[in-house]
Amino acid sequence: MRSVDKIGFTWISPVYCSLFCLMRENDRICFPPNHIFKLQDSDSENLHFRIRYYFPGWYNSSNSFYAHRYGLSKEMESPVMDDCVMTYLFAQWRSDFLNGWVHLPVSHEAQEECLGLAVLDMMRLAKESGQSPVDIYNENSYKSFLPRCMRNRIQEYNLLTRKRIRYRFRRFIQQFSECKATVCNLKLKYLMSLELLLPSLYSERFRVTDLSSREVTIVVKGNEGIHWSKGKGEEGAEEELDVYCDFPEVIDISIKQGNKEGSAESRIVSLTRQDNQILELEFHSLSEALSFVSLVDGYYRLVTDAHHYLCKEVAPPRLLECIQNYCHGPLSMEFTISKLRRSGNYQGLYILRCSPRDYDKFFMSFVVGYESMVDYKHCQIVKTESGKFILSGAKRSFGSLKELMNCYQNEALRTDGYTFQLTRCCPPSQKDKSNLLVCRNNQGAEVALSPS
Amino acid sequence: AMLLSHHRFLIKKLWPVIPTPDSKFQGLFTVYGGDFQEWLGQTSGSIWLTSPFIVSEECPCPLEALSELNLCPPLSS
Repeated sequence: MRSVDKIGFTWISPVYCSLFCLMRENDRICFPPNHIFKLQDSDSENLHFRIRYYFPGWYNSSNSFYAHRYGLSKEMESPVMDDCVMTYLFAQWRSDFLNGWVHLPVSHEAQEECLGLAVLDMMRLAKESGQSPVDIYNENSYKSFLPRCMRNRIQEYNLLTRKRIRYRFRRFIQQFSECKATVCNLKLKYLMSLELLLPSLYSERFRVTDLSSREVTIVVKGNEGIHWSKGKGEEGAEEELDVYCDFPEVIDISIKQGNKEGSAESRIVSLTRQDNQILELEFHSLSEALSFVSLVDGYYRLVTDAHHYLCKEVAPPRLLECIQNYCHGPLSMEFTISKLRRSGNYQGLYILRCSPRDYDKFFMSFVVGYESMVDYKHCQIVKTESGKFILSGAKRSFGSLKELMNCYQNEALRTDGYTFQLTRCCPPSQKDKSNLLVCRNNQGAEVALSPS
Repeated sequence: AMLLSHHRFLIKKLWPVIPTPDSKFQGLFTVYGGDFQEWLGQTSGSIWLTSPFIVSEECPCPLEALSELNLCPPLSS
């Protein structure tokens, strides 16, 4: 099977691919992006392509802590995800929620929240199928829009109370027939409510032991980085979490074989911080260790440096290929031109980057002209199904991007009336700000280290 | 007094406070007349509404290598 970022979901732009991962259904452990699946004939494994990296509050641009993608100016900042990815997230979270994959309190408040979600969901279904919400209500039990634990809770009420709940719900649905709403906004509100109700949808927990064999729970969140608490840390129970560090403070991660007897599967993960503090954690299995490391590594690329990996063992193959070829990720045209300007802005200067729209295309963007007359051109490089690279307009094909660039670097080239030669490549530089990075506003790369 | 508390107990048993979705949509109909987008924007801050990633499309230009121009017929490799 092919690795994660080669799966061509044509409607998810390459810009957002870094938010996704593959998860195994039976134990819900996420694979690192370089995992190679070795399948025997009899094996069957269900995998889910999932959004793993999430930034709470991304939709609220009036909040000073809201997360967004960098733009060249305030007006050009863009959301962490687009409508396609938001729709994907809606389907994913809705399924997790209704199928009981996340722990849910059954308080009165939570019951009302769930009923509110059911209203949004029915309304969404009505809009999508061109019916009225009352039709949807009549065709489906409203309970099928609630998670099982909530259905059971309502079942515990006596007949009269259940009737009252149903009556009030129906009356509200009727009122909603008058409501003007778009499918997109209904989905967004559904996500916003779930984010508040169930933080465990976007925070991951790992049970590990530290080197003195104490049990430790590690919690990783996109907005806050890595937290930990001593003890078992039962989900939902009150627990005190200490900050360990935020993603930009991590400088290296390594994985080695566990050293205790009777635990051949266990792995020790060492996480080194900017201040040279090292955190050593023992994971019960290799797959859990890889899942944790790829989580931190992925967040690092999203918030700190889009072209860097913290641990070779989990580095995405596409990233390694890019680094080798001095190629940027799916950089937007605005950031490409801005980088060319800042890097000298002379004829022949060029940037190689992945296409922000197609997984099998690259762009070579370059400067032509002189002085006040400079212009920027973008030439496509297509990777064919047989793995050949072709510069559009040119006639030859090459086995790799590197061979292609090596060839045309020394050639006289012509485009749109300009004849020129490529002179210098602008490779990705450390911590370049671009549309590939999420700005969280709460913590910058310059944030002071927490005292330890 | 015992009768009264017994009465209250019965009421609570037969007519308990029930969960309803209404409280999650405060003001949607009374203040915003059922305009969901307006209500959402006002109650949740200015949210990213309809946000197709604003990406300017580059128009790719073909690039010719002068040395290849007299290759005829076109070679592939």
